[in-house]
Amino acid sequence: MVRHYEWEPSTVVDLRIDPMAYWLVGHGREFFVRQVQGPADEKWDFGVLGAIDIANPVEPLAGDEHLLSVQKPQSDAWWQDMQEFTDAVGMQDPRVFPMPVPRALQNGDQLDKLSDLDGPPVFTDHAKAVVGIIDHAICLPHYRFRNAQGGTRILRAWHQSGVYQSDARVPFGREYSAAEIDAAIRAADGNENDALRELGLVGFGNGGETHLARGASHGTHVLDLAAGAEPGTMEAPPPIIAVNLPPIVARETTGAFLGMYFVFGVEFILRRARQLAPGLPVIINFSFALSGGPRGGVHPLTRCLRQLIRAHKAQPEGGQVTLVTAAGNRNLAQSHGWQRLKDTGEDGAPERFSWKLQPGDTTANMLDIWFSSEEEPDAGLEFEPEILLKLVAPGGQQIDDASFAEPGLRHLKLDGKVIGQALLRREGEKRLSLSLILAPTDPGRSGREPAPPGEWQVMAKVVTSGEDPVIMEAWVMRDDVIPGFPDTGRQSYLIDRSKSLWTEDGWPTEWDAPDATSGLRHGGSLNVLSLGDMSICVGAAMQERGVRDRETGPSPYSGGPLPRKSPMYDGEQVDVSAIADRSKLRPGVRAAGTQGGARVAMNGSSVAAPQVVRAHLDAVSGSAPPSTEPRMGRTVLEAPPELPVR
Amino acid sequence: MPISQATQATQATQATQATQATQATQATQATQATGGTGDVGSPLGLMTARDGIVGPWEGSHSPSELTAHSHDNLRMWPDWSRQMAAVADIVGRITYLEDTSNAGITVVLAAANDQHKVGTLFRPTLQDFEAQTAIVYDYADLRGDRMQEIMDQIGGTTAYFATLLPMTAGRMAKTLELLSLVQTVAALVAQRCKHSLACRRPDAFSAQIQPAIAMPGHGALPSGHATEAFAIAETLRRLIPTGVKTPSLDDMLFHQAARIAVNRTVAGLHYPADSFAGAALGFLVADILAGMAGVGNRVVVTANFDGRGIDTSDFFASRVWNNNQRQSFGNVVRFSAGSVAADESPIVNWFWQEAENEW
Repeated sequence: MVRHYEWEPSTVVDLRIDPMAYWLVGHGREFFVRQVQGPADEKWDFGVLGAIDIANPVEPLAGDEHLLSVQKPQSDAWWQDMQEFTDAVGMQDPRVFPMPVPRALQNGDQLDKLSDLDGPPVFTDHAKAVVGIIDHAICLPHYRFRNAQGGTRILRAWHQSGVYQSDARVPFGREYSAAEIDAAIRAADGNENDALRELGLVGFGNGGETHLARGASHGTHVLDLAAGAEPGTMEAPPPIIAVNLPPIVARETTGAFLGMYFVFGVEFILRRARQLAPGLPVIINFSFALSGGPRGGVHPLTRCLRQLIRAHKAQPEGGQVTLVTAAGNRNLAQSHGWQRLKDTGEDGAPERFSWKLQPGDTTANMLDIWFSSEEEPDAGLEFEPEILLKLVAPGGQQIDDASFAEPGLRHLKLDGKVIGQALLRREGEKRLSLSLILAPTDPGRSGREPAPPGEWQVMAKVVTSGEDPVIMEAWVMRDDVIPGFPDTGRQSYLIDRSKSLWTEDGWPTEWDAPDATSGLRHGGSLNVLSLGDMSICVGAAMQERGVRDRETGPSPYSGGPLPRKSPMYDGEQVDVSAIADRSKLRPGVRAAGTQGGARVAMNGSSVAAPQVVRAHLDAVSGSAPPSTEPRMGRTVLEAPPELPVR
Repeated sequence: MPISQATQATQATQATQATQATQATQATQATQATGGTGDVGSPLGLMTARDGIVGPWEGSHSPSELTAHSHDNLRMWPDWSRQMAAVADIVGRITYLEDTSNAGITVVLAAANDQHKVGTLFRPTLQDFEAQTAIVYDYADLRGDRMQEIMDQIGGTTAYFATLLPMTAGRMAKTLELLSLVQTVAALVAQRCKHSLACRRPDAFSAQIQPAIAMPGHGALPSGHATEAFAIAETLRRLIPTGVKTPSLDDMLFHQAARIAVNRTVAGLHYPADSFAGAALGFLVADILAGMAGVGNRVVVTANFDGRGIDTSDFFASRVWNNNQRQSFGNVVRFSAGSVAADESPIVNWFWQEAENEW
């Protein structure tokens, strides 16, 4: 059946909009379905804020760049106003990150600054460092985070999806003090389930959250590995400052909504640490990953973090800051591929990626394509490129070219309805990026037009004035569902028939052939969020790789860096690794379940990162990996005795 | 007397032949019907064996007389028989007053030659049920976590208490019998109340509940599972000697009971209100049973549940059990120290003593 595809240009130009967030806000709406009981028609929805009302949480970045949090844009006209606003205040190259914040969590139309507390008592116990954690579903009253007297070791906690309190010092959500957590623990007689109810962290109906009613929760497990202990067993148990990300952030696995919540979270931890534990080093664990956007520390979020950390250290109360991140679990996701465009003349043939969209997928999929010059990557693209995007729909129907003579936005329509978005933008002087988003293949009950499932051929042709080959690197954004969320997002992936997915003995292929010239690539699956020298990137290791071979090696899914010869390589690396799996048949390491006394096994680089946090505190030793393995870094930590891996 | 004997012999032979013919048929049928394990004698086999050994009537003699009403005799009866006797004793003392104008029911206990009101249940309003249905919807989030428990607990909950204690059929047979008694009484009382209160199930208020297991046909409130679970928990709390208890046993008994109750909400079958009502009723049943067993001062604490205005109140353990004692919760659940002492029943007392001796 022949269907009618066409590209439609948009009037939005030259705004550095996070593409997936823009799609979700404008066309996606997959996440805006929950009813919160309150004033009539109140929904889990964006509020509308004029940009001028939002306090910038951070000082300006280098030059005049700002990181600005905004909420629901109404239309293309709104974006036009945004452009005018940023011009008026002199922002160059602004990044715009939509950030859904329900009304119940805000103070009216005002998003206040994160501000200091009123002269709280200073933490005086002897500790080596403060452990900060930004995660989802951290059980704040858990007994593993208490001291020998039964009080909590958490100094302050920010539940970003909590109900806003009138005396808040946070812009949205709810902050808890140690005293409040202690009061809840006492009222509940130590029982975590009851204490969670007291604190309002668990509720059924009435817009309450249910994740902490489950037996296993991500944040609790991670914090236990980082800083948990049987009360009284640690000599100088580290104080903790915790941030619970909202469920919508954890649920949206491309990371499109992660940015501002994360930045606010880091600022919260550092600010409170300065007041409550002045001078102490702060180690922040962040077991979440971004799968897309500029890599190698040039992502606007990483630049913002760098700024925050520098500002913290410049203050007299600001101690050393270490950010520990997870390498990501995308090594087997078939999420990355590359092509060399040999001929960039007018008549050159385009190179292609085969992008498989799964049927029954209720969330949108995104392919991020980057263009760089191969020969002189630092010199940048010596052209004003014309990019031609050719798509072939599953089944072979050719779609007219989308031609970009300059950065811009196009919508793809099928039979008159929008099913896709292509956004071309410059990243600095060196690169161009083209983000292609396709609508869910299963519209559910939304009534929207689905994108056809199957194999899409994505071909890009770059016409330049230069002779140098152009390298196209593509990444498929993460789109699966993490446990505990009901969505049925299915992961799309790249197909490369020239490469076998399986080794001769039947295990999934984990590594690239050294002389690969193009196509699917495992390397380059690393978490985008890393800060180079300001962060430690931790990979997941497997204690025993096989039956015959009992050596420790990387977990098959653990992400790895780009090869150095890739023009997008910018120093990214896995620094160290820690045990996340005991063996192929016994995944995970055991740590605290949500309720006291429960132990659950979880794997992934999420659980490797906090072990490095602990190692910083306990000086746990490590050993060099058996062979040079970029996915394991320079050391594999031995599991500390309190956390037996067996 | 040869002729007579001969006649008798002929008659006997004829009779035998006739019988044999019948026997042949019956024998075939009997063999087809049962394998014959030796534990149970078939009527035909017992009949022919008797013929073989009985001999002529020798006259009867009297054994010692069984003491009437004695609970010592209970040991002789099969377990189902003594269960029925005990249940009859207990529920025979329980009657109900229907409050038709308020959709309520009062549980009345006969004691000391008088009728005593020991419990009331008032049905929530439709608006309350609507609000409660939203909570049931959210609890479905836990189905992944709880499904195995929900399936296990469809038919009963004893295993989940047995797991807390060394309570196996071999070691603790009488304790398990006592718990079976508790369950039966709890179920009878709960079903009687369910009939009167006539509460619709959550799936009548929303098509989005989509219960995980088949929705029972009887009314929602009170929850039978909650009634049974709390009755069992309270019974065990009183039964097990303090010296034998691990420190947190009481807490775990009631947290387990609460979890069993909540699991029914997770499955989509019950509102939290049903668990409040069931918990209150369960405590009452346990009090009545322990009272009739002669435990302590036999006092039955009045248990009142009022669902009118319960609105969005959610049920969890510490709402009805905290600081080592049962808790009232607002107007929803109110316990008031009663002055009613249950009549002691030797039958129920026997069950209790036999169970207690096992610990």
